[in-house]
Amino acid sequence: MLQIENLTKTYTSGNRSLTVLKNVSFSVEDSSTVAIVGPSGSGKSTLLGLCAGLDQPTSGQVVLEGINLSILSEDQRAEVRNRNIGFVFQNFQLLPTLTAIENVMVPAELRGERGAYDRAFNLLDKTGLADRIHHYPSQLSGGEQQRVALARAFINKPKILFADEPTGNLDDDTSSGITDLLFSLNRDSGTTLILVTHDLDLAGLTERILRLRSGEVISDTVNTPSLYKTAQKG
Amino acid sequence: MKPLQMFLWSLKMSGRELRSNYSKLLLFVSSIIFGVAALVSITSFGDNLNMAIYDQSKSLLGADITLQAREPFNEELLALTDSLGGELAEEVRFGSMVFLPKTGDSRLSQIRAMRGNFPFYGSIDVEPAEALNRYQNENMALVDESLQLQYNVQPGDTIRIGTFDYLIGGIVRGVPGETAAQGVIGPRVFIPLETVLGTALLQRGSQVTYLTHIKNPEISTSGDFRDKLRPLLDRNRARVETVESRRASLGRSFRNLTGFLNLVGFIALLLGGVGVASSIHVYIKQSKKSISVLRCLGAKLPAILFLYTSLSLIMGLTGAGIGILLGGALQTLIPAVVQDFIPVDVSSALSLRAVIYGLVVGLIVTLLFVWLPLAGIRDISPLAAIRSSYEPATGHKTNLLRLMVIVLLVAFILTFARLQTGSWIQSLFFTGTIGLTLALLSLVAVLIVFLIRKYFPNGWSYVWRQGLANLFRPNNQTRMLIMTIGFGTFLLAVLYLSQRVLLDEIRIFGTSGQANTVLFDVQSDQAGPVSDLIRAEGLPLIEVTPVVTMRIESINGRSYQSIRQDTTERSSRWALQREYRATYRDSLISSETITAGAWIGSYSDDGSPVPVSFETGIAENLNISVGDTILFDLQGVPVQTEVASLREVDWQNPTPNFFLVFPKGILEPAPQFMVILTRTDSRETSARFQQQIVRNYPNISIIDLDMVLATADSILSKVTFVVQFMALFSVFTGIIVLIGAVITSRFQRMKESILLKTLGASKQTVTRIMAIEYTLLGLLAAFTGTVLSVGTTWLLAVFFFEAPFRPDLLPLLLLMLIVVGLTVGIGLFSSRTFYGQPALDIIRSEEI
Repeated sequence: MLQIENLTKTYTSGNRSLTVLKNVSFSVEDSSTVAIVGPSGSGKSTLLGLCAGLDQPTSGQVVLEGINLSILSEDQRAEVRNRNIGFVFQNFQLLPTLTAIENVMVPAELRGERGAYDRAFNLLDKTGLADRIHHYPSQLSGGEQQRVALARAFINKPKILFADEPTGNLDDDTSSGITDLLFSLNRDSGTTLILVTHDLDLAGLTERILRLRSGEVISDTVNTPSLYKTAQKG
Repeated sequence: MKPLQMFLWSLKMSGRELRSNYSKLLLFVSSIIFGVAALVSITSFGDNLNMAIYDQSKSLLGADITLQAREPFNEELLALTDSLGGELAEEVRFGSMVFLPKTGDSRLSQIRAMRGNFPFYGSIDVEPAEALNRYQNENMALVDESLQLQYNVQPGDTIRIGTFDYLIGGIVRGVPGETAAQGVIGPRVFIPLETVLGTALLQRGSQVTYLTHIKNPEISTSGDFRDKLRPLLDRNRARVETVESRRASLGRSFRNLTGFLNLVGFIALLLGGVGVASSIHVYIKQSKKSISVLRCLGAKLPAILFLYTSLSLIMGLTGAGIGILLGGALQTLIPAVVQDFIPVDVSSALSLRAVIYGLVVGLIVTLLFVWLPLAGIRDISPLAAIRSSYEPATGHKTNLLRLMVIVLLVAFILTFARLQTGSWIQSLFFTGTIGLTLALLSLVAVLIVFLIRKYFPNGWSYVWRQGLANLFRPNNQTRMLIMTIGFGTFLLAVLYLSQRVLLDEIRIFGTSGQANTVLFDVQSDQAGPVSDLIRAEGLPLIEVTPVVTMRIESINGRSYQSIRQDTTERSSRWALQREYRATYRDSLISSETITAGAWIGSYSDDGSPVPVSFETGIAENLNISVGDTILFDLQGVPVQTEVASLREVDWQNPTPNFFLVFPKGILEPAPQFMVILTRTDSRETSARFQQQIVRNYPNISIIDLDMVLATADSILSKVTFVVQFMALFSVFTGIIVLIGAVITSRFQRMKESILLKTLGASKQTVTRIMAIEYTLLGLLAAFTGTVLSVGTTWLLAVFFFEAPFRPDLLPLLLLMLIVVGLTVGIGLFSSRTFYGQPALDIIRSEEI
């Protein structure tokens, strides 16, 4: 469902150019879970951005659900993202002017769908926030904000979910709760999960681990998910 | 997403945005409140004025028809009057000295000698009212309120005009169709016509106007009535006014007035627009993260643009609404502000057209200025949601959307100014001046930031370095503040300096040693005794100049009537028809310079045309040049002349200057009067001298230039007050924009203040850093605005007022100090709570 072919990204600043991804290729099957790991500056976030159609590669192509994102305009890619992709960010990225439930409803509203409120409420209920739906992000803890973000990510029943360091800003206890929720929602909806992290324990929960270094894939290994690890951490 | 769905979603999101940021956004749009208020109040006043002119048009003229000529009506005009039918009233209008025995004062006044029931429509407002019905039968005078205010004359006192003593029957508070300012220039005195006919007051040389007012004529005055009469009137150098023509000419004058005031108000609105643009720019910057998240979640660019546009529209509506309410309240004050200059009673009802106008213009300005920063949304990448430091490479590409908005904005300003001024050239000048001033202010801001960065004084104390660095750090407001504060200062300084230019122009008369008293209408046989009287009083006889009156009969053989009727002819009607007051002498005087031809100072009557010299301006109006021949009618005697030279005349030179000068040798025997110049050095001397003249020579008019100066000063002050009243809208807008700018960047400053506090900076240190920043901003803006205003006023003085320009630096320095003080005061007041904020809240916060 996601095919990455010879992806290269080079940033140019004045006369200097910096290649952060070099000829990266891989593909991801439906409903699978993949972790992209690597040290800071290895190109993880850049790769995630390109895979999700947030940016255009310098060369190579990204094909998502049979659609070549590399040839689409920004607005066309926005539509593809809205229909097929869910996001979870390290900094939660909730809209500060919207309440929890409104934040969850946004992707559905952008599709012009009816019944967004009920679906958003159900998702927030699943994440344990049924009594906080009218709270603004600033009135929620970090863990609660990330749970709202998870609910938002799933409201459009995405085919693929991109999570960028989803526990990076949380303490250990909260992290494990969020991790459990992320994987359980993912399992229930049969969504493909692509996780960017440098937390190897979190990566260990996925079926496949791609390791990046200096913009290149240095290993691509099949992993046996070990759910108990998160439990042990606590 | 379909367009309708996008529209609904954007509206829903704007509502949510408003819910959280209402007060912040309200401040953004409050910048337009005063601009809209100015437009609404002026437009509503203009509408009410038009309606009043329409409703009161009969009383504006006081009759259905008024015929007027500079000479007693001849047979043809009398026959015309008879043929028109209806009820008649006669009036003779002239200037004359009046003497007040009670105080011993004399004053040049406008005498209205009346016979009949004029005004037929409306009524002269006299106190006591019954005096109006009695004064003609009982040989009384009705005197202007300004005489009462100046000399405390009361009904029952005596006033002497010529040799006749009149009992003052009443005080005139108002004359229909005339403004209060007209009475200030020359107090009006109404007397019975019978008392002046045949007296010395109406001697040759006096500026006398003969009028016949007609009520209910037997023929219709509408349509081409005036055109049909024109040949007859031209032939007799007479004029006719009807209710329609008076209404049309007044309407034109006041359209110019309201157009000008609307432009001043529009400047306030544009200034507010700059404030809105700046605030939205910062708001969008602060919302960058949210926008990138929305784009991540699949929002398309048009949807986001529409979201922020509808948000701005809602706020624009709110701002315009408040502006309309304020304008509605203010327009009740405007008639009071301009009452001295309007001849009608204006109601203070708010016109619907003004409300719609304010709303539409306010919304258009908001939208256009909002789109400038909104065009930048295109450059916000969804990638910024996962990479906070991400800056797209497209940011520096030409933004077509922004370019389009700029073109639309310029087109809008041009069109608006065109609608107000009725002239594309003036509209271009208006738009160009505003554009150039804002561009120069912006350039200065960029230059200053560049220079501070390049030559940063690393050796200065920490507080100074921090204060200076604030001018160029991210999210700084340097450019916007310099533009708005600088523009406000520029406007105020230009208004002040222009007023000074005009006053200085008049004040030349008052300088020591120059004549300050002019005696007019001195008959030839009076010149000797009057000169003796001047010497006997110990006053200097500065100049005695002969004046001969004449009219143009033909130019190069073509009669003035045929030139006037020739639509292809460029000669001005005014210049052709006026009475020329010429002098004769054998040499040029210091105020004159020959620009074409040669000066000829003497003429021997050999039958050849008399070589005369014309002033360049009037020659241009008459479309004549050296060599052209002009036949003058010198009080019944034809005099053939030829243009021998053209002269540039320095009209500021306080000596009698003339459009037309004859050589010696021809006009000496002609009927003439003299103008005599002298100087009195105290009010007492002046009063005594005037009394002597009025007592012995009642036909002579005295112009006291000191009084003229004082009157001009008071009228100019009133005009300035009206303009400054409108400029206040810009000042208030500037203050709001300043407050808005400070509060907009509040979070950034707060965060830095808290960080400094956390690192050990005292409250005093933080306050001093901000004080230095605001002082520098205020100083740079005020200085730049003042320098630009000096340049602009110099241009206005040289090319428009044609007057010398000597800027007075002290008031300008004072203005700069006030602006700097205001900037620092508002800046520090708005930031006063920063230091006390809990550090943790600020440091943790994501929204910058």
